[in-house]
Amino acid sequence: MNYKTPVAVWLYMIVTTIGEVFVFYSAKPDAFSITIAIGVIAMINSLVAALFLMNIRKEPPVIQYLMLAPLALIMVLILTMLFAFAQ
Amino acid sequence: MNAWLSRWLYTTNHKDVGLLYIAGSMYFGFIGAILILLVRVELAIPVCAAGVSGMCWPSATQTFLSAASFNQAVTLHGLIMILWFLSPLAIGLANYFLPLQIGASDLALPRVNAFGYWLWLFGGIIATLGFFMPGGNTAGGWTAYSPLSSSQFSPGAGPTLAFAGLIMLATSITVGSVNILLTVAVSRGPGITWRKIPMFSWFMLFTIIAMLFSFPSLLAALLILISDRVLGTMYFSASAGGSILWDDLFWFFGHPEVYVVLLPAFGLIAEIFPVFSGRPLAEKNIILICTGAIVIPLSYMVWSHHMFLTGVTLSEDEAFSVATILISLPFDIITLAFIKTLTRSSIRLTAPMVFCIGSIFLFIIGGVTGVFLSSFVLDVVYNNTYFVVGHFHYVMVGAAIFGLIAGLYYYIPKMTGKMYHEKMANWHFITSFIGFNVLYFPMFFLYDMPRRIYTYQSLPSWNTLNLISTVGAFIFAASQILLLANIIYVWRGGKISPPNPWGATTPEWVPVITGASHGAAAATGSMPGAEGGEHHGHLSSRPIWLAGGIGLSLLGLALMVYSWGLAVFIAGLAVDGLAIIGWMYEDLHEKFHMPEEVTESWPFSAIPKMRLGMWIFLSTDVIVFGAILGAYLYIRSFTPNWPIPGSVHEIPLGLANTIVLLTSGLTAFLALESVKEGKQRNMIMWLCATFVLGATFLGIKGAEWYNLYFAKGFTWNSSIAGSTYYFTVGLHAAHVTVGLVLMVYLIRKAMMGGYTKENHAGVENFALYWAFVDIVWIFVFPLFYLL
Repeated sequence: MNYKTPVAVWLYMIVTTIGEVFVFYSAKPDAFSITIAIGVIAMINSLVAALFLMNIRKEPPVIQYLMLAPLALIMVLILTMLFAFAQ
Repeated sequence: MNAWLSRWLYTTNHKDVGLLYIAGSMYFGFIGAILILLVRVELAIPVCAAGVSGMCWPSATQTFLSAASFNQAVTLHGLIMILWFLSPLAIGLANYFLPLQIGASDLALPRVNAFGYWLWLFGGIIATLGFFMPGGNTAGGWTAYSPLSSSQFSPGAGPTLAFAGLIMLATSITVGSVNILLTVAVSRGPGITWRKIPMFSWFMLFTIIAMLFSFPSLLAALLILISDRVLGTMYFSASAGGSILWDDLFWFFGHPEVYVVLLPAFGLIAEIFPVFSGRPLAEKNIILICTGAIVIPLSYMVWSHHMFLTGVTLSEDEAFSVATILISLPFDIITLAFIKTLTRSSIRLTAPMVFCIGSIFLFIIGGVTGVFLSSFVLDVVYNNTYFVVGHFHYVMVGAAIFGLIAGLYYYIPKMTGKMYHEKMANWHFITSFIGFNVLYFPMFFLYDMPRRIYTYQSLPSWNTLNLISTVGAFIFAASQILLLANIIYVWRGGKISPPNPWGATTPEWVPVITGASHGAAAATGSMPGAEGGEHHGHLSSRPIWLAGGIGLSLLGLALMVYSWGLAVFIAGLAVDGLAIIGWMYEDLHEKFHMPEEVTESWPFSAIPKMRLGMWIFLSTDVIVFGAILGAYLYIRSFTPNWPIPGSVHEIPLGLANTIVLLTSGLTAFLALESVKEGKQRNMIMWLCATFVLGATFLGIKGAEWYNLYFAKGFTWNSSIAGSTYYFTVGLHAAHVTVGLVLMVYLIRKAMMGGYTKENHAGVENFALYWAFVDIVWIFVFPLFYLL
């Protein structure tokens, strides 16, 4: 069995999660850059987990669209909610 | 148990379940109709002016219904008619005919189908039980707007029961959607390619897609609402912008729901028009493209037009106004295509046909009046008036019910082998059509009368129109007796129908179709079950027990205000536990077995059925968690004085727990890789490791909660930060718990040699589920601990 890829993915996620905490402690509280940095790390981590642990990269395109469709819809909902009262 | 009773309680056969849905929806339709007749009696006449007597209520406190009763009746009328009558009637027809149309032997997951039905039925019963509670049922309108639906403004167990019933309904629809979508995707009979799928099945497919992504949003909103009511969390409290949060989550479901109700009727019209006009359906491909565009993305891009007056920005109003006008275009095209089908044709005016024509006529009126409401300028005038009531009833009652009734008449010969009474059916149409228009058309002229008022002062322009409307309501309701009489006529006698009385060409009318071993043969009693005997192999008591257990536990949850509520809740959990063990036992010992068949499944040919089912389920869970995380972000952005990150949660503990969960993701993956290589021992070892890590995660989480709750006083009802934390993390923990239960089953089956190099679908599906649980936590950890 090829252990290398899953273990590498696991190690990557552990390291980046620790990195998130490191970023949190190393910056000033409420700094906007923290939000951005931690948000980007979380998104990349989730993408890596979907690609390698769920193996979505090996699924047919129709499955990829099936997962992308609700993601896109929920993003529309969240963005609409957040900016509904922004002037 | 009596064979007849056990058949109907334990059936998983798609035809039986379809009939149960149809019968159940008619029962709920009757309840909903009674409720609105009470409302119409109340509104028929005004309150007498001072010193005046005659045809008016003596005073505002001496009316037919009290304000509270009126509000409850109108609220439950809306909920029941939309969610327990219209949609389920279509789902009943789909249960019965969709597998026949696509040559499937049954739905892909028969027990899940039965489970969905019982959830729906028990949910409806629980929702209506609220009438018998002190203080009555929910009374804030079918939209359950916040904070009207809160414990503060809707106190008592009744409203909680209604929302608990709605949770069961939303769950039922979600699992049902996964099942039907899976069936169309991978269970089509040989030769039934996508191009050969009949129109009703196509429209049901679109309906299901609309349900798939809309109901999870409702489910998320209802779970939060129940949490607010029972636990005292503060999501929808007005101070945190909760009322708008509810609006968004509700209408993200609520607007697609309009199409969920409407599209099955259009599917039936698309079947019936060609049969009775003698012409093929005009512009079939364009109709399908338009319907696809309506479902995704347009139906999800218009919800905010229900919120024009909530103070959202002008640019958002404009965007949603344009999107709403845009969605009317594909409907125009579909309507024109239907009309084109009828031009220069030889129309046979049978009952199904006249109901279809009536449906299209009423839809045009409903559609045109809807265009008025898409303008946010006109919406200022029309919002919350009887004009809106008239508009949506023309669409959801006129177009949808007339279309569905057409479908009932069309399929009665197929379902019963008997012919209905044509003359009675024609009179049914005439009286329904007259009654409907007398009921709803006057409402367009009541554009200055607010809806949801229980009575009104005498105004010449309102009095007559309301009275006419009430007369119409009674004509429309009474005319449905003719439908009931016709069903009794068919049941008690009726002429034998030829196998294909209409000369239809779609597969369901072929007496025996290829691949219909379970669906067709079982209904005639010729299906040898897995253990022999008619129907026997397709009976399972697990679905009704599991749904009953869930119902019981939700009932207990809603009745926690009583000392015995907790006991009911625990009893429900116990029943669920036993039902789950029983379900797993059936699987482990193959007591319930669906034989693998050769099917058409492009473009899903490379994906095993159960894996596709898991992907579809996860796509709905994306919406559930997305809505809940979105709610958190929304509340966070509108709440000042949020606790400083690190001041409440112990970040090192959270980090350690995250590492534990991520590690369990690795071990789950390795379990799958092991079985793929035929190494069963390793698989069991990795599964056990995953179980231990998952349990450790929950253990650490429990300790963390204990410390937060008791040592720090950070409870779910102490602050909005506490509410969002406990709810989101709690829902994630519930997913982890489900994963642990699944693992017990997997490990047991693996020890019995149930998984091999070739057959390891269960482990594969679990690995997918567990990775999804990991991904959710990847967002939860930084959002709640670090930001």
